[in-house]
Amino acid sequence: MAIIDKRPLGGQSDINRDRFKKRYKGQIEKAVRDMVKDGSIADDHKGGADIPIKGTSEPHPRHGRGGIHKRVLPGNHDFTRGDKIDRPQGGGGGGGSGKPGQGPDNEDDFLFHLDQEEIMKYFLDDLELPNMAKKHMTQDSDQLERVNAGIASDGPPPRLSIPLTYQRAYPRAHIFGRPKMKQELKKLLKERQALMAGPEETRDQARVNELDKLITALRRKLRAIPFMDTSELRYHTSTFEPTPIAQAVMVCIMDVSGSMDEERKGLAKRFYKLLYLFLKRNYKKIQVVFIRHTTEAEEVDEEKFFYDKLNGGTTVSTGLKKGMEIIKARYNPNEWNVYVAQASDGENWGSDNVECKNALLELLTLVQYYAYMEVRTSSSYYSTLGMSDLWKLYQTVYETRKYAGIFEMRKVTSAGEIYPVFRELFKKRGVKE
Amino acid sequence: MSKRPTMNRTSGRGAGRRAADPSKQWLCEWETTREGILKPASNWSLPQLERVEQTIGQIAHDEFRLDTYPNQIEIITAEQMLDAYTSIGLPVNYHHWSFGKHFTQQAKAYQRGQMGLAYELVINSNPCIAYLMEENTALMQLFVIAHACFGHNSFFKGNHLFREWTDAEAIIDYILFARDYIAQCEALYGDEVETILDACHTLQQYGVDRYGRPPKLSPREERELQKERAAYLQSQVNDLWLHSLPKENANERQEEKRFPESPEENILYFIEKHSPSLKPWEREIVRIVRKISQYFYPQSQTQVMNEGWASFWHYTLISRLDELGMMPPGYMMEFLKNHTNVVYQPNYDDQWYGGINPYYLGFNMFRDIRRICEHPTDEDRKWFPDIAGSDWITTLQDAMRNYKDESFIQQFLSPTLIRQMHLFGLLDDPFRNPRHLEISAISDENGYREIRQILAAEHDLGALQPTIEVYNVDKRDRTLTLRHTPWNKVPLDKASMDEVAKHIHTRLWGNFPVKVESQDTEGRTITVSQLPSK
Repeated sequence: MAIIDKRPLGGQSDINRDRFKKRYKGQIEKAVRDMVKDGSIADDHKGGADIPIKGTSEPHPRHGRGGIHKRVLPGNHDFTRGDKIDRPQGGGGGGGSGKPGQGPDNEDDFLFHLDQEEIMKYFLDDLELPNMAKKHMTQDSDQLERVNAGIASDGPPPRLSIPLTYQRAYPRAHIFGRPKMKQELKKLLKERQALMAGPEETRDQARVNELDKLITALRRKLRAIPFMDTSELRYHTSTFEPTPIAQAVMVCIMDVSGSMDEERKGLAKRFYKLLYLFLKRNYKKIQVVFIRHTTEAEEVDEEKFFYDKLNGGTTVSTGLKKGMEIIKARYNPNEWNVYVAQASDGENWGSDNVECKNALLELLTLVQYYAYMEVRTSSSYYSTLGMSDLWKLYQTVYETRKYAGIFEMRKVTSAGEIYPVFRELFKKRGVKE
Repeated sequence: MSKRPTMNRTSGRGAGRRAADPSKQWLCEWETTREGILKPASNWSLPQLERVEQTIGQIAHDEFRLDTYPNQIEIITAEQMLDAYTSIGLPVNYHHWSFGKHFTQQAKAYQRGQMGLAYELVINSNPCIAYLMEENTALMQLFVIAHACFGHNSFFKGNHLFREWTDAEAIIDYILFARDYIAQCEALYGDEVETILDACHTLQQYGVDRYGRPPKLSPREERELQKERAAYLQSQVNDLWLHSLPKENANERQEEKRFPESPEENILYFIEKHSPSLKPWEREIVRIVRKISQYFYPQSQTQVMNEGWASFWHYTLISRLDELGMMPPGYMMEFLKNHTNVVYQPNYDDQWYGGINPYYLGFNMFRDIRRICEHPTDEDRKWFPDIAGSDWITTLQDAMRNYKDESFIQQFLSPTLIRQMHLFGLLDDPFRNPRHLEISAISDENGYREIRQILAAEHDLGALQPTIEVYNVDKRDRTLTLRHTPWNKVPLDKASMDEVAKHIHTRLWGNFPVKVESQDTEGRTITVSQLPSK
């Protein structure tokens, strides 16, 4: 005989699961994209989601309803031969041999569970930062990264997974009635306390003694049911893997001036959230710089960028210059892939236009890709006019075709458009949408 | 594997009830609890499993004369168990989306606590491979080793259905061959492979020869002969269809010999050999699906016996260990609790009732046979004159070897057990009595035989799945006619049959017409499904 420990090999189910995903790719993709159309994905679907899939049934010939059925059942109480029983509602014949699994086919309701990671994958599939390959790809195999390697029943205490452990411990404790007993204990203690609170002369001492006895017994019982058992402990495990590193930085420049009302800022922020999510998922090593500007620009952290409120006039060039300054200081374009994403409502002080164009042109020489997104809402001044000052200005740059593939600009007027525009801006080149 | 030098087996056979080594370290490690009490650990180690296997093996082989394949025990995680389950119990099965679907379903049910996982899974192969879950406690591993590695294992080796219909020596190699072959096809033909597998799966249950012994599987020859076979088959097929060009003139049709002359129950076999459209590699895939079906065929026929036999032996072996004083304190309680769960049978009116539990029925029948052998009553002598008072081990082995569920129940279900289970027969005959069900038998002198009869019939293959055979192929327009023979006037489910017919029509029978016939309750032939629809 032989004993083989197969655990380290892991599951093989991924292949079959992938087959399933491939077969129903269209349905899954559509469902995921519908789910997150307005770009509010960042906060939702933490625990994944169930996606209804149609047409997954696997037909087999089987018995229909009706016909004669003779059956043997256990546990007769008082039937005698020849007794008649009313036919149960819903027809007698169903179930054929009484074998489970012959019930009606519910497969049309098949729910396929995707975890958050998979949702993101469908959601952000086929997207990439363009022109990445041109630059430094430091294939530094000495660089080790700690990656999750699943769950084990053994490990160091700090790596204990409390949810997973509790998931196992709780049902056992529940079965043995631990929560019930605890409730009971609480009740008894309360009763005892109430009794003890009264004056000593009128106290029902017999009841107190009885309670004491019950409480002691209950406590002993509770001690016998461990809160957690060693066999239920689960630990996260991890291994180290060498990782190739592409050095890249994304500079996000957002206009937060007064003309950007809450609705427009909301749109811009959703766009950046998507961008941020996409970068974090697909490019773990990427640096992100957040710049916001009114009449002057400042670098802020993620928190401030997304959640802080600020008002003022608009001088776009300050934002661009700030970006440039940071790039020159920290991200040498010879070593870094530099990306810029700018969002604005298109309003700018007229006197700033020349400076702004110069700044843009200079930036374009440094970056791999520059995406400009203009947010407009129905209340926008420019939505009736068609083109904003900044749009016109940028268009003159765009139309030279000198920066084709590097400079892209898009308009967004409603939440529903953010995701499609985002996909357009970052779709893999050569991939048809 | 080296012999374990220190294992204490002085208490084994022959040594009677002398107490074993008090530390009982053969089975478990010991640990001190916080209260300072020494107790058996719930953890287990690989060497310990080895000791367990050897200790039980010694008793099983020497004392109870169980004949088994050598064991190969594999420790797996819950995920791997789900895996194995969903690829129909084969660890190296070919890849298909439907397995992924089942995995997702079951993983979800398992994670939400709606479903427990089997403690073990055992494969009818030589050596006999048993998967043990890592989450099992030490006692559960002992339980499972007794159940699977000796119970199921000896059943696989002994039962005539398994001996005749499956080839334990070659199955793993064959499955590997199949997986590689299908992977190669996928590389060459892409998605076409998936559609043919889908189509074959709809007829999985109809890829079995029920009444003739299939030839032995031999993976090496399988590979060598595969090409030759493909070429030959194709030439045969061409010959048949070349002389039978399709004609639309149905009126001119005269009575002629049917083809096949007698109905063919193995539909996939018929398709593999005679389909007018399949390419050689497609025929090979049809063959693979039916070969795997054939391998599983005995399992559906022997569920009660197989589980009953395994349960009987885990109970008997562990009880014997306890008699020998080899079971650590506390283990016996845990064992009995688990055993009781496995063989639990709720009454028909209980909310948990879901049919008769095959573990319960089988376990009690084998126990009952032992009782009849060892302590027969007058009633037993009357009902079972051949076995009452005989050597129980020989009798049990004989029962295990030579029967399948249907005949086993027919032969061995005793009045004692019928009374003990309070069995009763329920007749549902809408033709005679549309408003009522009738109690047709209870556990009394007049009812024993009928209850036995009905319960046996419930385990007949006809009760489990509809009987469908290839009835005829029209050589003019190539119409394939399948015929359903109703069992107790139970009709064929039209919706699912239509789906199946669609698969046959479009994928397996090359878009030539497919017809499924059945009989109505008066015995007249009716058409259930027809493609292309008229």
